[in-house]
Amino acid sequence: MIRRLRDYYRQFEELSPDEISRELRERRDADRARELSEVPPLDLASASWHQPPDAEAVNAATYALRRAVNAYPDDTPLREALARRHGVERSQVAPGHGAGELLHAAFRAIAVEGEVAIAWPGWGPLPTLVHEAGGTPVPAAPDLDVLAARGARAVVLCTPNDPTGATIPPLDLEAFARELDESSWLVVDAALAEFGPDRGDEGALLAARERVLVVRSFSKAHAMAGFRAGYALANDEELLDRLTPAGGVSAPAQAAMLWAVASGEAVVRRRRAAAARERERLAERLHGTPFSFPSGHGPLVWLASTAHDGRTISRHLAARRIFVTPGQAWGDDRHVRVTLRDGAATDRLADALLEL
Amino acid sequence: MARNDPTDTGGLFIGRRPGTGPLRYRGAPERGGPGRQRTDAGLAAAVLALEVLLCLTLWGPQPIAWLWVGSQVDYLTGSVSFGIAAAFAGMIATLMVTLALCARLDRAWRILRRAAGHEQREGMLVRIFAVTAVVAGLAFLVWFVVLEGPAPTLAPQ
Repeated sequence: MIRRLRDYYRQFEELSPDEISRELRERRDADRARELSEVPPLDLASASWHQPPDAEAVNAATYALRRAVNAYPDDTPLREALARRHGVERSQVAPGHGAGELLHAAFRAIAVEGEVAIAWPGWGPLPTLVHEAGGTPVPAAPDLDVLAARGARAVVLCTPNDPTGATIPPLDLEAFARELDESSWLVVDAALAEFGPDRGDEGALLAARERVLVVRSFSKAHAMAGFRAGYALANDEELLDRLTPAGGVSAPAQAAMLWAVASGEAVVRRRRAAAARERERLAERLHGTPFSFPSGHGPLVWLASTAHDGRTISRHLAARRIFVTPGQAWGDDRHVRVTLRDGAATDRLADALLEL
Repeated sequence: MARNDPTDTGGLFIGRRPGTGPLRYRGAPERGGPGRQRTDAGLAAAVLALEVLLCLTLWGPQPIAWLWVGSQVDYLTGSVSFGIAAAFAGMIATLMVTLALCARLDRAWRILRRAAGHEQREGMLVRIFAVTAVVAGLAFLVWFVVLEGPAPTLAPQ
């Protein structure tokens, strides 16, 4: 009877802080032991940067969030910073909800009908975005002369290219912009521009042609995909007004973008170097094997093999819990797109590929 | 220029304030029925009353008892110092014992309150100790200033 009573009341005793800590430590140890025995999945399919954004960018966003978020945000400081960054006028800049959303809005404005030539392979969703806008997407070889001769309503280029990493030198791009028919729009998807060898002189490109639109993103090198932050550069203010979200971009996203433009260069430089280092590491590991990929810039690698098709490669990797994007997404059976991460991930990928 | 001072919280707390986390038990407690919970609530009230009484003894009965003991020591040894020392040592000793007892009662009270269905995080000992000290101090002031006065009662007026 007494024992039953004691047991009843003992169940209402709280755990001491030591006991709570011990329980948490035991759980952590169990998790670690499980991690050692399991092969964790390796996601090399996502095109976003694998690390979180710089803590200062998050701090800037948090600071903005703790301020007057009841008011509509004023994007003037951001527009001015971006204009200074690219050597253009403030009226030539429009912040938006990421490069994808800006391109979507741009195609609805300029490609409601007619042919839109897309240098292919390019960013995967481009044909769908053009189609949704009412235009006719036409994949074309990434040859500037061929694209210029096509006479399409708009020409879309991706530099550095997703998925190949190839870049178009700024002078070539400016020459192409001058050569292209005046009635055509030139749309440059420069979401990966921070990984390229050139800082990107959009001012010169905008000066070379009236009907040009450059779309930049903070989702890649700035690792801010979750903020949905990007911007467009163009001469046509009416077009930029149509690209600007109603009410503007959120205050936290603007604050993070502003920090990235003002102080994020060092972080971007480190990430650019990291991506280049991993490309080099993978090329070295695959040297002399059936695997190869074109040289380029950025963390995206367009991998192919002379011995196996893309489907076989992606299945083989998936069996080892490494996930890449099969080339079928671009209508290409030979390739897979790999997003490079860090040295350990590259080594694991190379080891798995060499087992094939 | 981007403003990014993370220590400027603007009054917004991130995370949980200390001491507001949920109580953690060894397992999910199984409470008794309404009758048992009522009994536990009654028991908790009784324990709390006992705790109050014990604390009150610290401010009256115990010092008086130890002053009496001190006076006896003074009488038997003929040393005022011995008497004072004995009274103070005794007071400190019973204070410690009483507080230890009160702490146990307080723990029992918390458990009974939880058994009665309340999310009882903290005990009442600190508050009872403080309140009884204030009440005893006020009572002493009333007795000393209003009822008795500073003059001795036994000595000739």
